[in-house]
Amino acid sequence: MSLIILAIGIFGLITADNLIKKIMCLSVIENTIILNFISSGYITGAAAPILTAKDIATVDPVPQALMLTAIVIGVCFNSLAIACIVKLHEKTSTVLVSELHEF
Amino acid sequence: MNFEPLLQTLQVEELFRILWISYPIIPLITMMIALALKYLFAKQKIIYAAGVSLILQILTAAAIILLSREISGERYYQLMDSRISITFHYGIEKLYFMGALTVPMILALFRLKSLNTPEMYLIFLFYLAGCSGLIVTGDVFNFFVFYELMIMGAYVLISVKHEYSASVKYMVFGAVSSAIFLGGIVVLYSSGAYFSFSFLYQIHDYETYPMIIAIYLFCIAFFIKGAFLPVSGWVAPCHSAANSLVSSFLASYTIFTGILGLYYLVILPAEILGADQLLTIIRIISLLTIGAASLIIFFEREYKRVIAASTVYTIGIVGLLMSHGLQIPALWYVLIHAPYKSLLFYMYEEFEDNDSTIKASLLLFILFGIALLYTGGFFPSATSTIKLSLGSVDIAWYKWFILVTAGILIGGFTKYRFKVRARGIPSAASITALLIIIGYSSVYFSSTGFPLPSWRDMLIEYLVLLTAAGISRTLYMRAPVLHNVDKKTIYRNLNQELLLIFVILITVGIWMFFPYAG
Amino acid sequence: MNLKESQILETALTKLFPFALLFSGYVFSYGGAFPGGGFQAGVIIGTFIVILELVFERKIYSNPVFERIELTGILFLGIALIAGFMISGYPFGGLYSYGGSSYPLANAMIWFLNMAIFLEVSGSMVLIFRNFLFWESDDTVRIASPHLQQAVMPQESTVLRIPQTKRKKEFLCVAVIAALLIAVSVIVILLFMPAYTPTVHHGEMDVIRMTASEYSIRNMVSVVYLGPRVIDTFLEVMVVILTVLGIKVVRGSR
Repeated sequence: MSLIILAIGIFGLITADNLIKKIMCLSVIENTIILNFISSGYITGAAAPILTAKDIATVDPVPQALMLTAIVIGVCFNSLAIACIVKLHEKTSTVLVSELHEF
Repeated sequence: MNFEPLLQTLQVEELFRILWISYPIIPLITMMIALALKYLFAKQKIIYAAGVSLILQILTAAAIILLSREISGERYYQLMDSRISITFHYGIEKLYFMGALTVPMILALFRLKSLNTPEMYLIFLFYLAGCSGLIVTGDVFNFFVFYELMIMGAYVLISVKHEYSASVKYMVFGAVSSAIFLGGIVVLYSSGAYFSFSFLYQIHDYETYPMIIAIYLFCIAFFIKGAFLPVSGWVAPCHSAANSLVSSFLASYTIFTGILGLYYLVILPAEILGADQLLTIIRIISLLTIGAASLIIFFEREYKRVIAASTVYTIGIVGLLMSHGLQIPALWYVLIHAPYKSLLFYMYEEFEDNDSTIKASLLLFILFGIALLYTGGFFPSATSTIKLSLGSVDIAWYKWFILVTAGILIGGFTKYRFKVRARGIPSAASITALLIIIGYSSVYFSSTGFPLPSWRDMLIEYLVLLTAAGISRTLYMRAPVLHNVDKKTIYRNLNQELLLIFVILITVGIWMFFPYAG
Repeated sequence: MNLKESQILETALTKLFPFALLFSGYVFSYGGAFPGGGFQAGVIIGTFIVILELVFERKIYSNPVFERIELTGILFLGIALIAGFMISGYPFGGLYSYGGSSYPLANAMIWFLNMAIFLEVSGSMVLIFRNFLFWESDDTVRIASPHLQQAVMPQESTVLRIPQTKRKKEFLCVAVIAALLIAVSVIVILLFMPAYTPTVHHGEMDVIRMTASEYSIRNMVSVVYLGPRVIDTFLEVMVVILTVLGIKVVRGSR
């Protein structure tokens, strides 16, 4: 399943003409990886990593903690990239790769 | 004064640990104090904060390098006693990267005013924290976070001069490589290992197959971060878009973090695992990178871009040396390249550059020529090791290949019309950079790492080099057809470059996983 | 659509605001015991303020207010960092070294760090989105959207643009090759690559659970990200601040 999402993300990243679409595809790819990481710590039938009185098996808390970091970094990257693209649009009045000399 | 009681009370190990850990934290603490001053007391003292942070970091680096004589072997410092804990790692190889980072730091003290606004100084401090953290860290995920801190600072610093397209291009490549790196971390964790470097070196304890996938993904990520062949096109526009202060940092340290990661996360585990096919891939791609970089430099028209693109050439040679198991000359090359590249960038600021005619004073040209001949094409350690013997293999055509490509490179550097201006002396920054080059290289020669070739051989090689340079220069000047090549062929559009990344992903993957295919 | 004239939205959001504040306060203050934590709480309140500003099309509080909130968070984190360095020689050390300090201190530190992160993230969320909301000037809403904006500089744009039709063929070629390659590689991976089952780290999970029960911190995720991985969390907060400053620089440069 995540392979299909990854393929869609990569295809969009390579073929998209619009820079904002490219950034969106990048975040799709990143989210696929995050999904994969969290599912790698998943154990069937286990509870959320909250300690309860009964001794129930819980899922691995480490991927969840780390992916919190990765998600926040992704958000920061996206907002910074979009700010730069808006400035680029102010300068050249286009966001299409095919219309920009520099790309 | 008597220092002995002081030294006895402060144990060397403990002092070294504190210095090593506090190295990346200095800029962050300074940033916090500066922010507090700015918003709570409305005092704009951030330029001093940046200066103080730089000086403190230079002093810390000096102290670490001095103390490192007392420390032998590697050290792992764990934050807490747990296997998932963040680990700091010290190894003697990391001091080379620390030296390479210290050079632009020293030079930045001269030009600190070229970052105009207070926010830029704060971002510069973040950038420094990311840079120094990459050296100190010994943990894969922490490496990723420090890398993001550094690269996001770099995105903003590049866009100072309104070159947003360069910044966006840098962002796209940075994000692609980071995503691949993150994928590698995921696979590494699911192979049973944790995030510390030490788990990568006990590779046999964990499942081999996911471990190899992880190393393969790291390898691709660092190929992109270090601008190896199929994607070397972004370096020239991105690094030259910033002002010379930032450019010197980017060219002399940031791009070499690709080599840092390649060394610690790919080459060392691959050697332990005996994955020879990976080293062969690195070797081939490095050779192609050397050739392609020299051609890019030859066809490029803007002078600052030429300087920026020549970093890729160095990356290629360093990758070649590392894949042959010659770490020490490769690291020396990284170290000496830093002041050389900073020198070029700072000198460029003093040139008057208008449309392929460059004006400067005679003294500056002489300095420039020495720097170019000494380090650019013909740094003794790298070429002499390649020439004398490549570890156990002895490949003669490497030498001629490197000489010819170096000739094309120098031809690319000198293809402009140079005019001597009457007055003007080199700035303090340039002279300091030259002094650092001399200092580093004298340390290198006194430490007798690798012997120099005989004078006769050296003379022949210099002649070959200069002839190649002369031929390529005349060729460029006489044939106007070549002047338009750069726009048409070198810079492919973004989609094609991204497609190339995917192609290299598949090719290397097929090469590596062919034995495992069911 | 003009959101400003919608009475329903205005009234509903005004009434909901205290509840959102309460909810985010709950999420951060019980971050040690239940699902939640500083980030989540900060994002909840930050997003709510952004929605309010979208609807009312004006600022609720001025920028310096949020800058100060953010700064307070950073300073708290800095204090924790330096204090940990003084106590144990490691940044943020001595929070709850596995098998060490007393448990009221650990619980208090978790609360303190969560609060610092909450303040920092809520301030920065508002500041980041505000930059896009008030792109051109700080007084009037002008949403930064490249396609809606009509103001362009005619002289420059003609120089920097190239006609789209010129490179259409190249792009089509790239798209076809990419589609073929991706399809082939997906098939190859599915057919030929051996699958592996991810290893579950049972041993380390037991250690984390023991630590959590020892200090009676029930949320095991916060045991990890405020425990051994605390520097990652700290650096991530630094990245957020960097983004706030960076967007300000990018937007402000003319």
